[in-house]
Formats: sequence, structure tokens, C-alpha cells
Amino acid sequence: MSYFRDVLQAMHAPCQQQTQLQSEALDRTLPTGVRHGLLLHNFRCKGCSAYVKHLRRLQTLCGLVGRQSIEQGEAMPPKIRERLQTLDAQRSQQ
Amino acid sequence: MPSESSQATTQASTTVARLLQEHGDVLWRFVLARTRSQTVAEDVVQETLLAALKAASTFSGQSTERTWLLGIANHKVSDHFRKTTRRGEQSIDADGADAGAFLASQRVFAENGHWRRSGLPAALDVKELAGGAGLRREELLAMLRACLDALPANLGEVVWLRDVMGIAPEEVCKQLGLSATNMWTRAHRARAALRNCIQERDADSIPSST
Repeated sequence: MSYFRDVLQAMHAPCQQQTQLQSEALDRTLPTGVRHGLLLHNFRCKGCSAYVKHLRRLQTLCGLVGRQSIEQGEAMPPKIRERLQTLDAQRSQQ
Repeated sequence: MPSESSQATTQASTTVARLLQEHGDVLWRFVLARTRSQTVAEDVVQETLLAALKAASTFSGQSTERTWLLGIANHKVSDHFRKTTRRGEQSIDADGADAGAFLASQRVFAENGHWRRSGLPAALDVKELAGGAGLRREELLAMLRACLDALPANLGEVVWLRDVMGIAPEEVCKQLGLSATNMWTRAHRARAALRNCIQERDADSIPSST
């Protein structure tokens, strides 16, 4: 019974609430009924259907920003590395 | 023969040197990407290493050492923004999340909670989703970086760990001391604010469908 209740609730929830659930779906596995309700809602709602795609693209692009920053970013300048090592050495002597 | 305290100090120093050796560059790149300032990044990396040293005994080993360090660094960057910029002075709601940037993104909804005709997100080009032309993608990335910079500290810290660094949700909760529900709420608000920011900056790429 809770499956059908979840389907109906998710399907008829306002779009604003759908966007929260769609974001949550990126961070956790939603109950099956809720997932199916969202799919049915998106099937007939252009706005929410586009929003899901925007979210996925956003996450892909965020991942690219991360990869570019970490893989292609500049290494720690030797001057700064030296300073941090010196500070650490000074702290050890105190 | 060295005293117990000097032995402990030497051990700690070795740890900082090792952390710097093994994770220094990644830590640096991450902090620099978030702060865009070498001076600030230097301070934050130093604070991160010292904080890691103090918290070493609490490191459970459930996450990798790098993830643990990035979590500390992320927290230090947010502290910096809270202290020094307007990004930390936004209105905080009952969930502890910034209300302003998120509320702006909710103007696309009518009072009944459904999309306003003028707020409908546009359909996306599937080819663009799959990678797109290099120039277009670079433009989008530049816009996204600017929008990430504009996020309030308490939303930025979630999206940086979760979506930019790809850290698992459970680990993000642990690093930021948030409940799962709170993390989902903040992630939703951050993503909605980011989407809205990109839409506003790039009205041509995500046009209104009306």
C-alpha cells in the first residue's frame, strides 16, 4: 500500500517539491514508489523534466570544475611549501 | 635521551611534513580554486595542516586521509568567508542554510508550487549534455566557477565537497557535522541557486520556454 501512496503523492506533488526530491535523488536512493511517482510526473511536466536534465548537467560540470582544479591546477609554489615547512620546524622547536 | 614531549613534537612535525609531501599539492589546488588568492590559500593550508595535526587522533580511517584533509580545508575556507566577506553574512534560516540565494531561485514557482510560465527551464541540447563543443563547455565552466564563488559559505561548502569533489554524501555529512536531511536540503538549495545563477548569466543558453 505504501508503494501506491508514495507513487500518488510524488506524482501529484507541486513542482517546487519535485525539484527538492530530484536533487535528493542525486544523494540517496529514493523509495521505489517515490521514484516512479517522479517519473510519471516528469512524463507530463516539461518544466520538471528539463530541471532534472539541468541538475545532471550541473553535477557533470561541477565534477569537471573539480577535475580541472585538482588535475590541471598549479602545484604549490616552492616558496610557499618552504615557508610552511619552516613554520612547522619553528613550531616543533618551541 | 629526548623527553616524551619532544618525541611527540618530533612525531607531529614528521606528520605535517608527510601530509605536505603527500597531499600538499591537492590541498593547495583545492583551496586556491575556492579562495582564488595565494595569500589566503597559504594561510588556509597552514591552518588545515595544524588542525589535522590536532585532530589526528580522531581520524577513524573510514575515509581516505585525503578526503579527511579536504573536509578540514573546506571547513577552514568557509570559516574564512564567514569572517571576511559578505558571503558569510547572509540570512540563515531554521535549517541553518542561507535563505537569500535560494529564495531568488524560487521565483520561478507560482503560489501553488508549480512552474510559472516565464520560469520554465528550457529543454537542453542532448549533444551539449554529452560534452558539447569545447568553447561552449569552457564558457559554461567559467560561468559555473563564477556562480560557485558567489554562493554563500554554508551552501558552497556542501556543493564543493559533494558535486565538485565528488565525495560521498555520508562522508560530506560527517565532514560538515550535518544530518542527512540537513545536507540534502543544503545541496538542493545550492544546486537551485547555481542553476538560477547560470540561467541569469546566460539567458541565451537556458532561455525561457515561453
